[in-house]
Amino acid sequence: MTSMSWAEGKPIKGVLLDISGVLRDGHEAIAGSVDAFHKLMKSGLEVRLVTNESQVTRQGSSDTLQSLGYQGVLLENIFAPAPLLAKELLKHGHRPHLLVHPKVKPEFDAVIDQISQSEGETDPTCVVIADAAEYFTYESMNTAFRILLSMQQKGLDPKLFTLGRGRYYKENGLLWMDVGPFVTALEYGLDIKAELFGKPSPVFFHTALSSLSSDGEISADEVVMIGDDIIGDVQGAMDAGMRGVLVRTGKFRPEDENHPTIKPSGIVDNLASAVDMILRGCNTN
Amino acid sequence: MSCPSKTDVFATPPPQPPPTATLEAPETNEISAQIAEIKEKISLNAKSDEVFDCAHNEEIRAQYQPTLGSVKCVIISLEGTLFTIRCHDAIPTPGAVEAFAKLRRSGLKILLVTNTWLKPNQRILKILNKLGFPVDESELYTSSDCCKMFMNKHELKHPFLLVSDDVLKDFNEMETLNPFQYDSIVLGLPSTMVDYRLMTKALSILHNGHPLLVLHPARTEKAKGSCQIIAPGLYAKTLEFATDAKLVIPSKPSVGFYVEACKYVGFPPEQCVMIGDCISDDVRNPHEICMKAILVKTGKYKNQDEFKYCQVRPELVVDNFYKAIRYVLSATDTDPDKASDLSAEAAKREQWKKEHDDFFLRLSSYANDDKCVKSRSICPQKIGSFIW
Repeated sequence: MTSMSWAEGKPIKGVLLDISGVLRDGHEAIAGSVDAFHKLMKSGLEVRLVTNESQVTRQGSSDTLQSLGYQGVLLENIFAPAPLLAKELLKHGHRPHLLVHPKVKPEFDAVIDQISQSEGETDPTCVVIADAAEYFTYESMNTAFRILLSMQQKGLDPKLFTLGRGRYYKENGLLWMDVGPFVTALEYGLDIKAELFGKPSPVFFHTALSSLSSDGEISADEVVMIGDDIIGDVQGAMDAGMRGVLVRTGKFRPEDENHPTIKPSGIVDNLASAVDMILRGCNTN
Repeated sequence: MSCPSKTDVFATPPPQPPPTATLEAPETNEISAQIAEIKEKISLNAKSDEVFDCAHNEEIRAQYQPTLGSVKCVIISLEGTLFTIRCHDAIPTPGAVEAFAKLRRSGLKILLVTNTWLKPNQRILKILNKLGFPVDESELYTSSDCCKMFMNKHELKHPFLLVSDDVLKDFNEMETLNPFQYDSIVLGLPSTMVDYRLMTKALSILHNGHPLLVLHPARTEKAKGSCQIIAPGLYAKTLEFATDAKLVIPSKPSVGFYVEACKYVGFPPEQCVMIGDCISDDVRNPHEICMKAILVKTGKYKNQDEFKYCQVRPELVVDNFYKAIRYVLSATDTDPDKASDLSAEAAKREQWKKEHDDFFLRLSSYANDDKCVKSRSICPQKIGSFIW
């Protein structure tokens, strides 16, 4: 079966891991993932965590992982969209309106500082939307909507940055809305297109890729992305030229195996079996 | 099918010149010239708005009998057609109350259609009655009625109702308290009530493959203070994106809504005429099921709207609801006042002249003041084009 041969071919040099649904499911580690993770870290392969989690800061993510038994998670090895976007906003001198979870706001501190130091205009020049969870209220949505609308009415380009386009995620046995549906609503209401920072944007994967090696000696086809989201993780990675492997944990649903358009490089039961296959570099069939 | 005409048959006969004797003598030449100019303007407007007589009715009949002659039921859109909203107040469009009364006496079946959002049916009826449109409960067909028909047909009995407390009244027989029984979602709530928890609850229901019924597919609405706010259609999009949910739109302007409305009145679509102010919602979609459609130039109508879609030509384009009804009644030969038309119209014209003489007198005192001519304000609305 072709889906088993993803670990063969060109040797794998770098591994990108999704956090939620691969390493942990809510506040629990996924069975076998902790050991598999440590095995992978010891193997000498370059490992990065690539997450769209925009509800917490990277520090928060790494603290949670540590509490679940994951050792050796370095802050700089976690790729989350918020810090990347914050850098981008700083570079262009944007004044963002943030529709984000309070826990992720610290990632934007530098941007906010810059605004408070500069005098003059105070109107936002863009809206940043992330998984705000219970902070997605009518009020907050409407405020974002009106800011964008007033930009539109002034003849300005209504800039909307989103830290993801995920539809939902599974936590503590329940499905929760992700940021995607809310972005879609704003896009639909204003006839605009949001700019995506995060998975499945190829730019995001390329940023992670370039961090895997200092001199670009690891190319995209030597990297495998392991995730539970067929669109965000698998398709995004494959669009960026990597191998995309789907795990049957987290928000995986049986119908994902027969997705009409996306054919993952491989589908495995969980991180443990993915790591086994990578390390053995073998065909389990 | 005769070509729907945008030329106004009322414009052809010369208007009766308003009597001028009382005004001319004391004025200087200059002022009287200005007044004459204004008078001419007003009588030009009046030609198309007010003057009717039997001869015209016959002309209309000859021209529109082939297209509108078979009409047995008049389906009317509410906001923008029957009334317009100005400064939060509903105001009947010119002559609408009179035309509605005439329509009532004509014996044609009447159906008013609108989408449910904040107001339950009972409240809409109250407002209509207050405005001077006496309407029976059975003559109002809203998206909550259509929604209930859909649910009956598909044996959906336990909807998760995301509607305002008021609109709950429209669904009271269907309330369910056991969250495990939910078999559908009805979305029509004022978006002020939408929050993350409700959306997440909805998400899990839709995940089980249950349909999402949307009572009001608009993306945005005007709120008090005339600012745009987000409306249920936006949240429907949210849930649709999240789950690939089966979206059912039992509301205007979906074609399904019009099909059900025709079934509800019991006439085939060819015998129903839709009167509305929106070329896409009130003309294009009704045409898809062979209803007739009349576009009125009130409400959200914008100049040249009738030519917006090359495939969509209303049977008739008229200034307002009043004239639409005149045409329908003439074309179907159901004008209840036909016999007395001559004398009544003559009397009416006299009355009109009298009123406008006063107007001219008043005008002459501020002939140079433009303020007396106010332009009509139109509030355009964004409506999503969901098709059921």
